[in-house]
Amino acid sequence: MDYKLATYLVYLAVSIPLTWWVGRTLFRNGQVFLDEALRDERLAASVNHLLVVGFYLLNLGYVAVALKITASVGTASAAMENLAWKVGFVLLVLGAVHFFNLYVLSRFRRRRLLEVSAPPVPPTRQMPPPPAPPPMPARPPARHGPEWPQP
Amino acid sequence: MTLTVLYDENCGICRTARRFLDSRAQLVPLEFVAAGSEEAHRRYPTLDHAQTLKEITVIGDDGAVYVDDSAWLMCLWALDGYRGLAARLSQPHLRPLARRVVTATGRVAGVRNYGEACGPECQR
Repeated sequence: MDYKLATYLVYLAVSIPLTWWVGRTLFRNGQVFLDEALRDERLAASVNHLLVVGFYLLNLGYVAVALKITASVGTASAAMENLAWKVGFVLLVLGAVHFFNLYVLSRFRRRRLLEVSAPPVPPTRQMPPPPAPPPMPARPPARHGPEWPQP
Repeated sequence: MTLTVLYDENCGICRTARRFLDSRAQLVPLEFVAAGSEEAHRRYPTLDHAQTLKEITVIGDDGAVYVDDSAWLMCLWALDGYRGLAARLSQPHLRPLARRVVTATGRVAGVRNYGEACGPECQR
């Protein structure tokens, strides 16, 4: 077995379990996040599953595409350098995709929080609530409480 | 919750703003009533209607009254996709900017055609 083939095998042996581990972490911890953000467990589980599938496709695709080493690998140290370079890139891509995933999840959460947020400003003044249904013309005048203070 | 927006239908900027608000998806329904109209008097008999012609007024169904920049912020808050902006603009360091923009807009509206009767085309 030459150095190049050995580098390929070690590269795959490191990259694939690494991708699987990050994907599992994302799946497990993202579930809690999505449950809170979407307030619908079935929808959250579905979104989580789809996100993780996308994550695996992107990363395993990158690992496969980045496998090839064009230069010849004649020594053990050259093989080690190539391996470090490739695994390092896989780690950087995993990190970038992971942070992008976190960004998407936080967008979901932010949107949800904004939907239930209170008015951003206090009322300038308060007056008694208006009569609820629109009154008919023949209806007697509605009673109302004290007037709010004029500015 | 529903918000009633009392806007001056004789003012071009106010009509444009109304059209903009009406065309967006709303998280809180916005109802538009011409300021100083019979409908406005009937709904809010205790309100100072002359004042509502000078500054945009938003009234919640709980009787909360928002005026001027607060009214604009409430309109943004009611729209889907604009809540983040409303929350940011209402923070202490950006609120004066929001207030200045609203004052400047009111001034432009006053110079151009504020209070000018414009007939049926106002309703468009």
